[in-house]
Parts: sequence; structure tokens; C-alpha cells
Amino acid sequence: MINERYSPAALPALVKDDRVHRDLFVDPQVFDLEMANIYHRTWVYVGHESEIRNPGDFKTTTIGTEPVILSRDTDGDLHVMVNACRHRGVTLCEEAGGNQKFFVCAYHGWVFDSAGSLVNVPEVEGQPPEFSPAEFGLTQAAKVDSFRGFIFASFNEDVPPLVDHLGEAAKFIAMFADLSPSGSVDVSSGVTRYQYEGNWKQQVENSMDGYHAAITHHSFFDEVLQARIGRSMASIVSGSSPAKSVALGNGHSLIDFRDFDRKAILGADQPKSEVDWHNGVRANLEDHDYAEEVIRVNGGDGFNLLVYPNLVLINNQIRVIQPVANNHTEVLAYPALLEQVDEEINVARVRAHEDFYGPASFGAPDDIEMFKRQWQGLSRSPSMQWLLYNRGLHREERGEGERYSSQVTDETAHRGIWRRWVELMTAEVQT
Amino acid sequence: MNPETRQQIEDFLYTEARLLDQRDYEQWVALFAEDGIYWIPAGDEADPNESVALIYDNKKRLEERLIRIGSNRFWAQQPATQTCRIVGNVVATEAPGDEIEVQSRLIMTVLRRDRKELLSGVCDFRLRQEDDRYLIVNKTVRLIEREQHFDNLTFLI
Ligand code: FES
Ligand SMILES: [Fe+2]
Repeated sequence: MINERYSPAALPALVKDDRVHRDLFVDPQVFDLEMANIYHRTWVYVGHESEIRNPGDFKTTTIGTEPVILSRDTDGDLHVMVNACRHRGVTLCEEAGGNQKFFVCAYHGWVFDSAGSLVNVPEVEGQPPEFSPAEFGLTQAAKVDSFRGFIFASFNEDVPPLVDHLGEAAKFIAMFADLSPSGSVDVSSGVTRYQYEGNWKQQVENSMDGYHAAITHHSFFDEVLQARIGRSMASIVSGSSPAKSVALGNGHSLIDFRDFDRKAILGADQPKSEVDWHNGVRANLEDHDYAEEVIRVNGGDGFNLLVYPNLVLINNQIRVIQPVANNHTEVLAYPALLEQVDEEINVARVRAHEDFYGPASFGAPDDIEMFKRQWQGLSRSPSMQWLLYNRGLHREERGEGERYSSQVTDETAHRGIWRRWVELMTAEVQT
Repeated sequence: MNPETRQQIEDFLYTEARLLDQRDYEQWVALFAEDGIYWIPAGDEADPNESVALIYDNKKRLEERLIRIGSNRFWAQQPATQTCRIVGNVVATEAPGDEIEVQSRLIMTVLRRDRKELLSGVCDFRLRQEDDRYLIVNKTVRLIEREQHFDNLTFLI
């Protein structure tokens, strides 16, 4: 029985303008509803084109908690297929990725092709005459589409087109890809993985949290950077920074650092490899003003983008959030390499990733520690009823549609995320 | 290799392991040569320039780790991780240029708060002899857990 408090009619009472009830993090029943109403309803990021360039390439991943295979079939079309044999549900593919024309179930040997069709059943004469293999292809996501190399899938037949879903977020995905002179990034340098005891929404919110950085990351922003570059970078996330917390609509959001002039602080000296790279970007883009904007963003502190619910683009990094259970979350972090640039540019991007985003880095582990402490606090303390999200309510500005913007230490992005959460969790359920 | 050298190398590995278990990181970083590299791959890769690692530190970055360790706001090490490691199966071979290649196996118990884990792997060292002592030119740790999801690797291995 679903708790009546989580019914579409009652749920909004747990998400107020300025606060959210703890049960939305800690109750496993809410997690199950999220998997159905968010992860099976909207578009979810499943992979990057550079991971499956060739016909027959595949990788395994998840949509919410559901294991799927992202496959490029022999005609080059993309499929997202549930990784469970249609005979009795055995996991079909145990590999993280690879290239193969067929997926053969290890239990009784049913064979599916790279488009998910059932193409062979051993001892088929034992199937009753009405058995139709066409009905027993792998269960597939209803929609698969990609934008600038980023592949999304949805189990919802009625989901709006991907570009409509992305809205203004599309512009920032494009800028991220256009930093590469080829117009697309590449994730071939691999991945770092971390996990924590806690809820997936903690990592989502943290990715859009300008308020925490100066405190949580003090030992990096103030102490390590003081030694490394002779100054603190905490001002970029201070209350007087020109950076912004932005809700873009549909839960997508942004920490927008583009008005923060890093060059003025760090100096404008450019090695030749960087000059060549930037000229490559200029040569690739017809719109000169746009090219200069992309270059200014520079893979540095341009913006942090959340594509709700599970993709984050930060600096050089593609971060993918994978809910496992209400109290368990896995995160994959891929350095985004550039194409058609000098090798040293990409080596620097890989080293920058290790510097801040891996599980042994100077950044992410302190965030993860906060997720654990937050989980301890929330899960053990029923008296801690409400989480506050009130910062900037008095000073945020509403733009067109669902766009809201405020100072970087405000919680404007978070309120946008929660508006979307309520929208998805209370929409008519499609079955 | 003569038995005396071999003994010195084993002693060096035990000292290195002890410094880590005791969290005497300053002394530990001092074991690295100025051009030393500390590498913990995140996969099976051979070229750290092509693949992201869990750790790929030069001496400068190892020294930056000391800044974090000395900070009173290094949250991921409050409380500190306790480790206890066993080093064994030591194989040492001479390498060109007065250097020595050493391979050992590592098993370590890792405890933080109430969470206990086991990490295991192969350590490859390249050591250089300088003024009667060994310096680490390269330490590479290939963990068997390298493709797992870690929650905190801010202690050193
Ligand atoms: S479960 Fe796959 S063939 Fe039987
Ligand atoms: Fe952070």
C-alpha cells in the first residue's frame, strides 16, 4: 500500500516553497515511486556516442535501478534494451561494454541480436506452434535520442521530444561539445567511480550548490590553491561573486560562472597548444560571437549544468548519477576529452579530473563525506523534519517561462529541481 | 642480487608500509625522489596520459596532499582512516641506471567509522639508490578493486 501522503493530491504538501520534508529522502517507498515516476517517465542520460561509435558496439548501464544495454545495431541505430532475458529474466550481458552482433543467454541459450530481436531459441520445436519470437525481443526503451553526442532514453511513449525536454539546457550542452574543435567530446580516457550511503538527490543538489563550496572545499580552494597559485579561489563562490544559481525549467539548472573573470585573476598567458585549440574552435564555428563565448568558457569555470535527473557537466567532467536504493548511490565521472587538439591539452584535462573529481582527489571526497553526514543526520533524526531551501527567495528574478536566477550562494536551482520533482511525481501515471 | 641488498629492499618496503599505517605522511612523501611518481590506475591501462587514474601524483602534488592532511578542514579524513597492511611476495630485480625494480603484494584492512574494507593489489616500485638510501622513482599500485565504486580513497595506499 502506498502511503496516502505520497498520493498526487497530498504530495505537494511535503514540498513547500522554502522547505522539503525529510521523508522524501529517507523513505524507501518514495524511492520506489521516484524510479517509476521520474526514471521511467522522463528522459534519462544513458551514455555518450564516443562509447559506442561502431555498429555492434554496446555498453551496459542503468535507467534508475533498471539494468539496460545501450547498443548500436548493425544498421547503426541506437537501442536501449532491458538487460534481462525474455525467457526467465537472466541477466543477458555481464560485460561493461564491447562489440558483438549477438547477446546469448547463458542459461538456456536464447539469442538476441544487437537490435534486441530474438533470433534463435534452442530446441525450438518444443515451443507451442503459436509461439512467436517477434513477441519476445528484449524490452526496449520507448524513445532513444541523442543531442550533440549525449544519448538519452525514456521508457515513456508519450515523453516530449528530447530537444523540447532539454530546453535551454541544450545551449549549454552544445557549448560543452563546441569546446572541442570537432564539435564533440570523447570519453575514451575512462571513468572514475564512487558511491556513498545516501540518496541520489543529495548528489543532484550538491552539483548545483554554490553555497557549500567555500566551506566544504576550504582545504582546496583556500589552502591548496594558496600554495599552488598564490591565492584562494573562494571568491568565485562568495556572496559577492557575479556567479549565479539558475533554474532553467524542467529541473535542469546551472551554476553560471561566466561573468566571473578568471583570466583577470589567473593571468592570460596561453601556451601554444591552447592557442591552437582555440583557433580550432574558431575555425569550427561560424558564429564569431558564439565562438568567443565558448572559448571564454574554456572548459574551466564556465558553468555547472544539471540535466535533470542524472547528468551533470562540470568543467572537464561528465558526471552520471545512478540511484541504487534510497540509501545507496553510485556516481560515474568521465573526463571529457577534446578532439583535434594537441595531446597535452587532453593530458591536462585528465590530470585536472584526478585533481578534483575522483575518489582520491582534493574535491569530491569532501562532498561525499557531507552526503554521508547528511544521511546520518536525516535518516536517524525523525525530529529533523524539514530541509531548508529558502536562500534567495527574496531576491531571485524570474525570467521567461520557468527560468529563475539569483546569486550563486542562493538555492534558486534547488527550488527549480524540486518544482520538477513534484511535477513528475504527481503527473498522471502512464502504465 | 646479493642477500644484503635484498634485505635492505625488504626493510625499505616495510618502513614505507609502516609510515603509511602510522599516517606519517611527511616522512612518507620524503621517500619519493624529486621526479617521483605515485600512480594508482583506475583500470588496466598502461599509459597514464591516455587514461584517468585514481591517483597520478608527481612530487609537487604529493606535497599538496600534505597541505590537506595538515588542514583542520579535511572533512574526508575526519575521522581519519585506519589502515593495517601486510607486504609480501617481494621480488626485486636490477634495472638500468643504478635503479631497482621491486614488486610486492599488498593486503590491507581499511577502517573508517564502523565501515571495514579489504583492499589488495600488486605494488610495482622503481627505486633509486642515492647517498646510502633508496628513493621512490615510481610506485604503482594495481588494486584488484580498481574498478569498484569507492567511497573514500583519501588515505594513501
Ligand atoms: S533465461 Fe535466458 S534462455 Fe532461459
Ligand atoms: Fe562540492
